[in-house]
Amino acid sequence: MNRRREAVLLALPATIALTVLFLVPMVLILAQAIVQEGLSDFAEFLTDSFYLDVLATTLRVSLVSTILSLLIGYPVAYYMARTSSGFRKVMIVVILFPFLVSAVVRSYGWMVILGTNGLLNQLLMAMGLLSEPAKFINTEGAVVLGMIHLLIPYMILSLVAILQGIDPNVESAADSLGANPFQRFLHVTLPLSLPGIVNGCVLVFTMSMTSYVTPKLLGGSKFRMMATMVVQEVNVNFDYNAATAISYILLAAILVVQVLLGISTQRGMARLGGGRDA
Amino acid sequence: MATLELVHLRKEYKRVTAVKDLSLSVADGEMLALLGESGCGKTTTLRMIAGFETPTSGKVVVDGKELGPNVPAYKRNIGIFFQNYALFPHMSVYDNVAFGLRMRRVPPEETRKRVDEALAMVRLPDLGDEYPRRLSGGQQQRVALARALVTRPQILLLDEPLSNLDAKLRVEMQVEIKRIQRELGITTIIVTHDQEEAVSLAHRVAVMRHGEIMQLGTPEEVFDHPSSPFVADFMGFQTFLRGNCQGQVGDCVAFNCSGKRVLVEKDMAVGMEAGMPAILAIRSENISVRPSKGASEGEQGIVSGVIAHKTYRGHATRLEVTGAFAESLFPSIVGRCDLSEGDEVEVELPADSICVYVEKGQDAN
Repeated sequence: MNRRREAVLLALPATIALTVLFLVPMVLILAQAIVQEGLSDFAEFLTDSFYLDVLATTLRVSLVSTILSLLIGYPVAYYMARTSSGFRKVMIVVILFPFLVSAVVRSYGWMVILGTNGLLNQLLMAMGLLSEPAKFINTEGAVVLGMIHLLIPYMILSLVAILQGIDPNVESAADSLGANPFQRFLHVTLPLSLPGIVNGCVLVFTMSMTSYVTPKLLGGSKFRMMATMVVQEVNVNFDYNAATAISYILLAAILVVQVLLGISTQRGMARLGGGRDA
Repeated sequence: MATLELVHLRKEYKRVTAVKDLSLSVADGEMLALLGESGCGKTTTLRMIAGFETPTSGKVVVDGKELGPNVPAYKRNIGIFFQNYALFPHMSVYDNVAFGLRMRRVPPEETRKRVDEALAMVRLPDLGDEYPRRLSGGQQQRVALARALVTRPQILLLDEPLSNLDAKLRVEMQVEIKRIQRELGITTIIVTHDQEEAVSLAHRVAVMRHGEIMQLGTPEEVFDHPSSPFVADFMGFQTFLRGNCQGQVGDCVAFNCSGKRVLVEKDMAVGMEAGMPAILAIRSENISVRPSKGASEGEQGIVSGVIAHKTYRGHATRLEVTGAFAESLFPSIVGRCDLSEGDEVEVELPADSICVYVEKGQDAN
């Protein structure tokens, strides 16, 4: 009992801070929006193809960024979890390094590289592969690229944490039982690392859904995602209630995807492991 | 089943050589123990046989066919039992055991039949639906054994199979492993650091040190006639005396140890000649001790000393006797022991069970 009381006390400061600074304002803006305009802003968002398009773009960019981060990050994480070489420390530093630089600076970095007269265009033209500059910046591709660069450390660190916990002998056991490297991955490593995959995907997906700086700087003025819409409603249109509606719809979209992800993980783990015999 | 041959096997890592020039052959159906302290190269040897490590040089040959780097672990038909069992935590007991058969595309009906047989063999017929984390250590071990055997491997490798079990279960599983190995007649290598485990399970024992085999022989040979003071120490000899050979006396060879004469039967001291420095090793249970009567000093094989320490160990009492030689004697008494520290005692050294080694210099241990 004493333990439990200690735990409650320890959680108290964070709980108070979150309630006062986050939960209460969330409830207040929702209450204000509903009192002032009912649910009309929500209805407008969900029926207007312009807004639905923004939601679709946000979901698409986030899903693509998440999947690519997973595909690129998994081999890196696996290597880091299994190697004992000193190179591992170098990799951790390299992966953590982006955290030391803000998203703004990193996006500017990409602007320098991807711009019309940027490094990439100059390089490709010098090599004779392009006769005139191609449009890299202000595209959805640039946003996805920036997003992956920004968020992949979260994916890798989530995966390393779980992969390190998988006993290498369990993989060796699969080897000795005749599983080729692909079968071993499919039936042993992958199902055992699913919790890390889900964790990494939830982090990357959520941060991508709510990101503002990257789409703003790399997507250009006409590229809109949910977070940039919220800022636009507040700063340009002064429509706080519309901003509230967009925020809540964004929140709902994130929760729905997370729940779906959680359910499919549990099913996947069971399916990849076992089998049925006569 | 199969024969296994290791030919001049060597494994170097960046900083250490784990295995140096190791050669041995295991007969069809034989169980061979690799016995040694941690870091002696026994596990590395096992991993090279399984295909988890590539030898720096040398060959692993099974049934006359070399298993080189072009035969990765999953293409070898070798069952391995891991020290920590390494069961698949996300699969039921049934799926764990069935895994190897599914990977080999055994038809479902046969898979079911063979998994059931394997679980019956390790006496766990009703636990197929359980998950490993819900099983006791002993049950997990049985599952691991069933999983390794269900694919009918040519060779079975056991890596410290009993070290994670408590004493009672260990004896039980020792019997079980021996029964299954003899029943199936499967060629087996067991790696262990426990000499008792090695001699009670295996047909032959290879004592390893620093990546080399120090002695390879039957359990009796290794246990009773260790080939070097190191092996003797490892096999539980505790008393080591330095001495000088004085030549043959009747059916015995005499040694001068700390000014006292110790006799050793001729066939225990083959090759010893007068003047050679020697180390005499004696097993604790072969030394007998009785209270001093003051008369028998000087009698054949009897010396007197004082009990310096007495340690009760449950099944036996271990004594340290000083004053007889420069080195201490360590007799062990089974049953009741009325002697206490400080008592003067007579100690009898048995001429027929002293192992003699030529001393090769200060650190020739």
